[in-house]
Order: sequence, then C-alpha cells, then structure tokens
Amino acid sequence: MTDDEGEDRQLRSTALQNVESILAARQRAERELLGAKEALERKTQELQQQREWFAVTLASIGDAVIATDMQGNITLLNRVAEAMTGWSSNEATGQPLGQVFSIINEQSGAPVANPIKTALESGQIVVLANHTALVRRDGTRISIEDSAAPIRNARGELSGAVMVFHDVTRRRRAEDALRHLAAVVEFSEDAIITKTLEGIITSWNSGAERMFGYTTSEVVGKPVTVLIPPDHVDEEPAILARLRRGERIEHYETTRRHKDGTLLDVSLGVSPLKDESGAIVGASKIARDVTQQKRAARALAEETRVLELLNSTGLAIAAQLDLQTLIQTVTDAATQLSGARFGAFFYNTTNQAGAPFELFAVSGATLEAIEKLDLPRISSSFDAPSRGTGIVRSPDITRDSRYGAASPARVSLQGEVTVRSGLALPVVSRSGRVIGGLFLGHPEPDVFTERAERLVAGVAAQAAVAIDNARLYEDAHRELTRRERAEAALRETDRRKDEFLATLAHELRNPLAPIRQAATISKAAGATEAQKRWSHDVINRQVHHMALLIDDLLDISRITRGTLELRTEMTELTAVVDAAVETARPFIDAKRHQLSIEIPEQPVHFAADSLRLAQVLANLLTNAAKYTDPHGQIRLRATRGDGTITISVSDTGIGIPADALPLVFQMFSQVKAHQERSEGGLGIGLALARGVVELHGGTIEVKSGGTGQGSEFIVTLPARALGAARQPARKQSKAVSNMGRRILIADDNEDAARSLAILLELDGHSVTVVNDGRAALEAFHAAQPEVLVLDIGMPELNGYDIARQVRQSSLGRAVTLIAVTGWGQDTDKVRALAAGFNHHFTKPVEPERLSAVLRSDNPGN
Amino acid sequence: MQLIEALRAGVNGSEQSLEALYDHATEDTVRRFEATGSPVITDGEQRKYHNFWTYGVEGDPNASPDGFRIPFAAGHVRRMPRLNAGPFRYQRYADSYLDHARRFTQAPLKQAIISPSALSLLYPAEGLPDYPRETFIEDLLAEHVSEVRRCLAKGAYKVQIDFTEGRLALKVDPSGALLESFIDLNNLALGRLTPAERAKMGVHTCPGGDRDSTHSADVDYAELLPSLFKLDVGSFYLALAGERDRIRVLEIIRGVMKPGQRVFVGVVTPIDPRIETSEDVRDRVLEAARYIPLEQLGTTDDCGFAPFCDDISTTRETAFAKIRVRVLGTLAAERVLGAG
Repeated sequence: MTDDEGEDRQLRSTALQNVESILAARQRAERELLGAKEALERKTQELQQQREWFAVTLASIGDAVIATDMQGNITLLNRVAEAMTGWSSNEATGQPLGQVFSIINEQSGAPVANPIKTALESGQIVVLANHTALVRRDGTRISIEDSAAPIRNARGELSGAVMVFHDVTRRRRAEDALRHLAAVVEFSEDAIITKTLEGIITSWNSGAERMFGYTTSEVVGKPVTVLIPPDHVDEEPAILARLRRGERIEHYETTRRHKDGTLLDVSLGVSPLKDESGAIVGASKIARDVTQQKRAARALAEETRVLELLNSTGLAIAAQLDLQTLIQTVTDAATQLSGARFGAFFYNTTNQAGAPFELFAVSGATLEAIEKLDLPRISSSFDAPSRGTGIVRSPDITRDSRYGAASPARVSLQGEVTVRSGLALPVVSRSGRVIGGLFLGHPEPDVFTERAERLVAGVAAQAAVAIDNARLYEDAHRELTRRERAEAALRETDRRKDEFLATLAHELRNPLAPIRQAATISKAAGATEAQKRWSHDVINRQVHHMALLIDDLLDISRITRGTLELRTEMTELTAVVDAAVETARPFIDAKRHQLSIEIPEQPVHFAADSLRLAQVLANLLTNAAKYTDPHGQIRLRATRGDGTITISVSDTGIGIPADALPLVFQMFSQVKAHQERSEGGLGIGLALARGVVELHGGTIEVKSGGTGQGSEFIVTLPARALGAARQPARKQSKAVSNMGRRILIADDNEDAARSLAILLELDGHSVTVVNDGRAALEAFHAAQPEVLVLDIGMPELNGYDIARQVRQSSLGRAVTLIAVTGWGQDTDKVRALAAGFNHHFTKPVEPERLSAVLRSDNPGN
Repeated sequence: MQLIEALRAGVNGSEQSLEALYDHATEDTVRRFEATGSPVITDGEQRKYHNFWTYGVEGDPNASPDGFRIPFAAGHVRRMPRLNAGPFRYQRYADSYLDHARRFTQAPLKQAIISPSALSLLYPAEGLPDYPRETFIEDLLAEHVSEVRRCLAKGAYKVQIDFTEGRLALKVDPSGALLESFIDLNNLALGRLTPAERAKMGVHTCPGGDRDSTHSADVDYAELLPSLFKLDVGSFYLALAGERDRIRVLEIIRGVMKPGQRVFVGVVTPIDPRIETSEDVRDRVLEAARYIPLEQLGTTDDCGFAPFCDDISTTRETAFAKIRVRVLGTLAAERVLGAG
C-alpha cells in the first residue's frame, strides 16, 4: 500500500467516522427539528388559533387596528380599518402609515403628528389628541379617537407599533349634542328641573334659579312643593300620579311661587324619567314663566277689547244722530274703556239753574244713585274740565287737594256708588265750545291710568264730533220743522186770506144792491120826494157801512205793520163801555139778548184811546150778540185790579171748540164751525181787537167750555196815568174859504169822476172832468185849473206821471194836486207826495174832508 | 511575494513587520480588485496564513500538524492538522480579515470561510478519549455559526463557504455517503442561521486548485451537483471554466437548481496561466445563459488564485488580469443579453 493509499484510507476513515457522528447529529437535529417542528406546529396551531381569535377579535371589536413595523410601514389593517380608511388590507400592507392614515385637527385642519411615529420614537403608549379627524382615501373625514402603542417582541425589543382607533363621529356628535343640550339646559330661559317620584328636586338649572330665585344648593333635595303656592298644592299629587302612569303633562298652566313670594304664571311640561330598565324613577319638568306672556295676552285681549269697543263705539256714535242715545253710548263706552265702576255724562247746558252740568246719561249705576252724588260739588272740584280746559285725573278724590275742603266722607255716597278714583274730561266741539263733560268714577283708588285717560279722551273727542253732528242734525231737523210749520202757516194764511177775500167780496157786494136799487128809485120818474130821500138815506147808510169795512181793513193793516197810532187820552171806563154798548145795541136788541153790565161804581180813569177801546168792546159785544142764539145772556164785567183793569165779555152762545181757541185772534180767521152760521163781517174784528189791546199794553184772552158752552173774552189793560201814555195828536183847525175854485177831475172811472164833480159843483166849484191821463194834461193846459183831483191808476198816463209833468210846467208849480186813489198804503202816500201831489185821499173820499181842503185858503198845504 | 517570503522565513520575522506586509498586501489586493471594476471584491485572503482550509485552527494547542493529507493531481499533498484534544475552538474568525480590508475600501466585500465539513476532518478517526466526536461536531457547528454571524455583523456583503471537499468526498467515498454526510453537516450549521442570514450565504466548490493543480477534478459534477444544491444557501459559486464539458455541467445545473438560488459560474481559470480574453468570458456567459435564467446567473472565478500561502504559480498581474477579463466579459455578455 502506498503512502497515498494510506492517506486516502486515513482520510476516508476520518471522514466516515464523522459520517456516523454527523448522521447522529443530523438525526438529533432532525429530532430536535421534528420536536421543534411539532412545537412549532403546536405553536403555529396556537398561533393560528390566536391569529384567528385575534382576527375575529380585530374584526369584532369594532375598532380599527393598524400595525406597522419599525419603519412605520403597515403590516396589518383590520376590516374596520379598511372600512374607515378606504384602503384594503392588501393595498395598505407595506405602505407607509402616513399614506393610509392621514389625520388632521378637526377644527384647524392642520396635520396631526402620526401617533405611531411617536409611539415608535418614544416607546410609550400615545393617545391621540382630541378633535382629530381621519382623512379617508376619498377625502372625506371621520372624527376618530385612537391610541398607539409600541410592539415589543419576546425579548422586549421594539418591533413595530399598533394603533387602535375608532369612529367617534356619532359619539362626538352625540357629545356635541349632549354638550349643546347641557348648554341649552343650563342657559335655557326656562326652568328645567328634575325630581323624584316623591317630588324631591334632584336637579335645578340656572333658568330655574333665575325664575324662582332659589340657588341649586337651596332647593336640590327639597320637595318641589316649595315652589307651589298653598292654593295649588293639590296639583302636585295629581301630577305625580299621572307621571307614575307614564303620562306626559304638557302646557299645564298654573301658578308657582318665587322665593320672594311673588306668584308667577307658568306653563309646565312634565315628562316621566326612566332608568335603563324603563322604570319610571322621576320626572323632568320644564317651567316657562308666562307671566309676561299672560300679561301680554291679557293686555292684548284688553287691547282687542278696547279696540273693538272703540271701533264699535266709533261706529255707533258716528251713525247715531239721536243725541240722547249717542251720549248714552259714549257714556257706556267711556265707562268700559276706563275700567270705571260708573260713568256720567254731564250735558253742558245753560237752561238749568244751579248745577253747571245737567246730568244727561249714566252708566254702571242707576240714575237715582248718581243723583245722590253731590254732583255739583264733584263737578266743581273738576272745574277745569267743566270749562273744557283740560282733563283731570285723580287717583284718590278723597285726598285730592283740587277737591277742596270736601271731606272724603262727604264724597262717599249713600247707597251703592262711592267715588275714590276720578277721571273728568271735557267734551269740546270742533268750534272749541264745551259741549259737556264726562265724569268716571270708581270706589277704589288708583284705578284710572294714563292710557285710560287717553282712551276716554279719544272717545270724548269722537263724542264731541258726533254730538256736534247730532246737534246740527237736531237744529236742521228743528229748522225743517219750523219751516214746515211756517209753510203750513203760510198755507193756512193763504187759505184764510182766500176765505177773507171771499168774505170781503161778499161784505162789499151786500151794500151795493140797496145802493143800486136806491139809485134807480131816486132816478125814477115817478119817484116821490120821500122815496128819493129814502133812497138817498139808503145810499148814505150803505156807503157808510162800506166805509167802516174799509176802515177796519185799513186799521188791521196798520196794526199788522205797526203804524196804527192810538189817540191816548184820559178816559173814563163807563164812557168807553157806553160807547161800545151803543154801537152794539142794534145787534143785541135785534136778537133780544139780555145784556148785563157790571162796572165799578167809582169812575175808573186811565189812559187809553177811548174810541179804539170802545171799538174793541163793541166788537166783543157784537160778536156775542151774533153768535148767541136769540134771548141769550151777554155779560160785560169790568173790574179794577192791582194796576190793571179787566173787562170781560161773556155769553151763552155757541162756544168755541178747544182746538179753535188759539186761532180766534188770528187775522182772517173765522172758526169754520161758525161760518155755517156766519153773521157776516170780515173776521178781522178779534185780530183788530187784540192789536188794539196790545197797543195799550194789555192782553186779550178767550175761554170757552167748548161748542155750546158759550165764550168769554177777557181784556186786561194796564191802569196807567196819562203821562205814561202817548198823547193823542191834536188837529189844528184850519181857515175855511168859501171861494169857488177851478177844479179838474181825471178818473178813468167815469161814475166816480162824475159823482165827485157833482158833489164839488154843489159846493160851488167849477169842475172839468176827463177820463184819462192825456186828456187830463190837455185839459190842465187848456183850462188852467187851480186844483187837479187825479186818480192814480189811469190808462196811458197815470196820476204820478201827470203830477210830475204838471209840476214841471210853469203853470203847474202853484196848482194844488190831490191824489184820489184806492192805494191807501203809507208808501203810496209817500210816493204821491214825491210825485208832486199836495194831498192824498183814499177812495172812497169823504166829501167833507175834500171840501174842507178846497175851502181852505191855501189848499196846497 | 514579500509577504510569502516573510512567511516562508517564518518564525524569525517580527510580528510588526509581518503585519505591515499583510496590510500592504491587503491594500494592494483590494485596490487592484477595485480597479478591475468587479462589483464585489475580496481581500484576496491575504491573511489566511497558510491556506483557506486551516486558517481558523492555526496555532490551536489542541491540534497537531500531522493530520490527514490531501493528494493533488500535480502529485503534491497538503497535510491537515489533527485534533488531539478537546474542546475544539477556532483560534480566529474570518471577520478579523474584514476589519483589515475595510480599512482600504468601502466596496462590497465577500468573505470566504471554510466549511464545517472540511474542518470535521480534523477529528481523528480513532477518536479522542475525553472529547467525543459528537461533542466535537457540536462545537464545530457552534464555531462555524459564530464565524458566519461575526462576518455578517462586520458588514460582509456575502459570506462564502468554501466547499472544495465536496468532490473530494466523492473521490474518497464514491458511494456518496460521505458527500451526503458533508452536506448534512453543513446544512446542520446553516439550519442554525436565520433565513435572512442564509440568504447572504453562498457556497463555493471546485476540484481544488493548488499550484495550478486540482485534487478532485476527476470527480464528475453530475455526482456532486445534485447533492450540492441541497445546501440551504442562496448562492452557488461553481467552477466551470476549467471543466472539460461545460455544456454538460450547465445542463446538470439547470436540472438541479431551484428557484431563488443564484448560480455564479466560473468564467476564468486561476490554474490556467493563460489569461482569457473578454470575448472568451463573454462567450462563456452567453453559453451559460442558455441554461440558467439571467436573473439567477452570475459570474465568478473558478477558484481562488492562491489557496495556499506558498502557491506562487499565479502572479498578481495574471490574477487581476483574469479578474478584469471576467468583469469585462461579463459586461459584454450583459450588453448582448440586454441585461445589466
């Protein structure tokens, strides 16, 4: 064997010896490996179980879990983390944490330090700051809360970090909501209180403190009844009973008490509080102070009531024209608006003596109760309003210095009305005139507010306008009534005038028949002288009668116009009566009446126009005779009283109905009933009588028991001395001339002209007659008369025109112009004088008066 | 050569002057290596005093130099130390070489270490009375794992296990049982490492080049490679340039390699004094690329240029020229393949 072979064998031997040992080592290693493998498998299984448990845990814990290695690269991302980040586990694994898990401050938006990085650097557990938001892969944000912790291996070495986080968006919202709710509760204006089912207060917010005045420490633990006023304590057991039944109590309006005792109007909402098991353990109570609201509601209701009242009052008084109703409405409204217990409207009038106001309307009290008030005193205490100068509001009249010395006791009323608070307002018209005043009263002091004052002032202002309107309406109505009455009176006057004219025509026509017949007789060829004289007497008598009628007419005209002048002189009563009786005697005797006369035995002298007065009494006696059946009783009785003389004429005649009594003295009136048995006459006699009596300063009245009861006319005259009466005008006597004159008569009434010419010719004058104006002028120039007697109303040229032309001629200045006309008014006379006439005579001309003028030396005067 | 001479002079040289020579040699090596453009360099194992195999146990008082001998084809043998007593402990760890080399470069450094299976041959066949073989194996594994981790801790870009005894095992035991035993032993050591640590581990095998000769070039790769690829490492550095039938070897590699494993094929032959051209290298790469996916393919030298301290068969110039050619040829191949 060579050395090499020996070396090879040694080497082979060494190597192969090792093989056994290596094999043994391998086997040992394999066993160990097997053991390790088994252990590993067990561990793996355990680990797998742990991983599964871990995975399940990670998946089920609801939190997101991200783990990283030491470099901050993601090694694990559970499902929740997947959902929250928007990254799948596969996508995220190996990515830097910042790529997947980006966080910012919720409020500022600024990036927040990665907690894993901090945990890795510090080796400590890191809790993420509050208000952190995760920016998800899609950019949306989630509020999160997390912590990060370092991961250490079995040797305690850092091997990575794990971060657990969860979505706190809901919780944060809930926390925010809770915080907001807590803030709402704390800062609520409402009182929010919780209590046990036994009514023990368990919490108390600041609103409750403000509302009820108790601090939390003062009331928590105390029964809630400390808030309940005694008259409401029964409410609490009922509320608690309802709560135990699980009922809620809403909008329960009641009264609660402040610590200082003030009562509060509150609206309660009470809800049962339940524990986690649902058992009712207490209640939450929200109390809202509705005192102001109630007050506002009451104020609103009051305001509404006031507005409605104002509106209705305004409408009512605007539409009301009846003054009494209007003022009652105003009084009622003012009383209600002001809160007065009673009100009174003092209508401002001057026709009542004594009190400055006349009580016109009352409200809230009986008229009797108001009348018991010392109204003049109260009114005078508020003198300013009564004069319309302002409003007086007294919180307590009994203590009001303006009330003067009146004691409160005297102000208090007997009966049901007393006054402490007073409000007095003037009611002033638009023209500034004080129409009246409102007085409002209340038995309690301090009732009337400034607002009430304004409201009532407003009503008073409306009332003033309405009262003005009502007054105007009444005035207009009164004026209308007056006019209607005037028109009726006018119509009545017209009617009476028509009747008068018919009567006048009748009365004037009556004399004409005997005159015509007498004239015919006197001209008859076979008439004897006696018949002629008789005819002349008849004519004279009838003409005289007609002249009297016309005189009466003229007199009544003068009385109507106030131009009748009395010829007053000292008169003796008996003379007047005798004259009257003499005048009436024919009528009395004609019907065989019995006249009795009673006059004072002693002469009675007084100032009067005896003729006119006799005319009056004659008229009364004549009427009595006329309207009394034959054989009646007529009584004239004169007495002298204290400064008066009374003369009455009574009869047993047909009497006067009561409704006709006021009319008997009117012009042209003859009671209709009388007309059926009219005894003639114009019906102006009594009017003339009244005019004459009143001119004497006396009166005349009539009495009658009615139809068939006779009548009595009573004349009362003042028994004045002469000095007090007007002196009668005395006519001066004039010189009378017998010299015949050249006279021109112009009248379109040929008979009138001719008859007058005959009369003048009989007096020795030379007379020329023409029948129109032109002929008159021609005759004037041709005949050159001294006197022209001219009718006024003539064709072509009237009397005025002739007079003016005559006066304008050289011949006419000295001539005497005499107007003879039917126009007898004073204005007619003035007009005639203005035209140049010297005299004015009213037809029919009394021949004696005309002769007297013509016979005077200077007929032109 | 100064260092070799000094070492040959041996014992009477001062430690200080020897250290200077080591430094110089190391610096020169890394500078030149960097100049070749190689992305990963080594220190040329300048401080492995005598050889790549026994550097760790040199000076072990429990060992004697009369261990078994390894016969080479050129006719010379290398005698290994023999363990005389326990416990077995490394006298030095390869990480100390990294400390030195790092002083001269920042380039990625690959550190070669001897395999546990090679060192298992130190234990005598007859055993040691107070130190059972099982204990030795355990100590061996522990020391190996310590060396690996120390190197990794010092920043080694790769730690390469020299497994030249693979073919030798088949040569010694054609049944393959020894080879399987070596594989098992090495895997026992690798099994104690973490996967990350193992990912930085590589294994080198070759017929054993020494004085331009091999100890087991006659052993067919076909018998070795299936077992070799059972080693639980990430990278395989396989001598290929010197193989007579590279295609056959490549086909075998393609048949046994697993996904995730990288295969660095030798494209220059240290024991061949001729300096290959870059085209040679390019062509060898292109050739290999037909069998090995590009992402799993890399190039290397067939073996170290001076595995034993007295080997002066290959000059530094030749060695670096070959390395340069490897780099250039590989780049040329990359351009052809569109990789890089």
